[in-house]
Amino acid sequence: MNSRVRQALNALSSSYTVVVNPDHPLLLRGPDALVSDFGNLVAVFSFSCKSRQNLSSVLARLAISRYALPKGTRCILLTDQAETSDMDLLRNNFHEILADVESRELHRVILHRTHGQNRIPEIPQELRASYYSQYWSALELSRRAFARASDKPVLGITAEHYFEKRDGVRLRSWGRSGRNSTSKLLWRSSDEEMLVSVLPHRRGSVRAAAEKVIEYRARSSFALDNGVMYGDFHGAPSLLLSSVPETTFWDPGKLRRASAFGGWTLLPSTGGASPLSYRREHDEINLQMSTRRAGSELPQDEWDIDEDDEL
Amino acid sequence: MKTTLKNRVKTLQALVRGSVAIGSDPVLCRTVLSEFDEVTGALRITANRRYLLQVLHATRALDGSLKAFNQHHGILGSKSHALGKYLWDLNKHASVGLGILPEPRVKSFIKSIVVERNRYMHQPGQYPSTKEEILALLTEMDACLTEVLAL
Repeated sequence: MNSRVRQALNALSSSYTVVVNPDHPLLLRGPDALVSDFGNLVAVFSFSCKSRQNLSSVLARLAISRYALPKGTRCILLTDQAETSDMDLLRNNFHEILADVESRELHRVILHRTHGQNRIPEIPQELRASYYSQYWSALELSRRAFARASDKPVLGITAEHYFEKRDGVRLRSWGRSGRNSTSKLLWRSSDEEMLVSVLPHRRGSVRAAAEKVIEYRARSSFALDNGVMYGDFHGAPSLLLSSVPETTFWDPGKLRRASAFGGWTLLPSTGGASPLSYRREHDEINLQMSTRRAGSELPQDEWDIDEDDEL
Repeated sequence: MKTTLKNRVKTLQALVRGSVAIGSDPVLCRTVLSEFDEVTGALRITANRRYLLQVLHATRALDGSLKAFNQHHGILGSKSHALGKYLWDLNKHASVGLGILPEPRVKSFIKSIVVERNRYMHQPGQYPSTKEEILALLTEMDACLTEVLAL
């Protein structure tokens, strides 16, 4: 976030709740700021550096964030750097673009609660449900895989090598050479392609690499139109292998949760299962998730703990 | 940890305050927001008591948020008012335009939040034994709240 954007946010009335670099439980990289008043939430995005190179990056962030934020949230872009040629694309997806970053303008947009709402539609409910189903399935598959791995660690063999040897997975370099290049993409050669990536072993690089693969998947697999990300959210799971303990993060479940929300199933790199077996397990979980509603009565099993639930 | 916890709590406060479902009732919303303030306020207290207080205030913030959310959508059952009940109401409702929290997810939250919370709140001498244990519980509550707000 550049200093002018930060200044504009700082100059907002103290009656608003303003959070710069919010820590959303489902997002590794979401909006750059949240501004809220009672029943009125605005997510603020901005370019992170001078050039327009991260146009696709900001659109990917917008696409995923809209699924994570409450309905009715308006997304605005603050920029004094957008190229004229990009403006139509940006305007088509954000509720508002403020090219001349001034707090007065920002205040005006926040104040008019319906500003931009008629141009950018809410995400259709079925699409939202489908997206969350994908997230919950990925999260559950990840939970099961880590639970199994803690019982039977396959020491000394990383899944990266395991997949290559046994399953004929093709390895491709991912990213530029340099500090963030340790993550790799692997494509399984079969009727259906499955996206597999490996997070770096160095703890300091994990977050940036995870952000990158999440952004990559959003850009390459889905389409953004009028601020809504469309696509088939029930396809093959994308697998993200990690050898780093989750305690790397302050929020112990964040890497797994945010990866799942970005469409990636985080797996232990010593898990030892094949991509196809993960695929089968994923399909089973997906089916359970799509059953959705319990029976007409509350289940009278160990989960129904209403009485004990009271504080 | 202080900075990150504060940032997370501020993020949740912004989401709750800005959500149409909860923020539209400023009086109720303020009580929920003040519970969140207490979660960070407890940072000044020694470990075991701090953990208990954080669980207490976080769970009250979550309870209050879910109650207001369900009330707004007209799906607040008349039976008991409890976190588990609110979660089941989100699974079994027929409100148009509101998503369904699937059964496996409801069960998962009950196991990871309600059961754990009840253990600390109802059983004498029970304290979270590690910082990781308390963080796992608190952040699971965060995830639950954000998922419900986006339904």
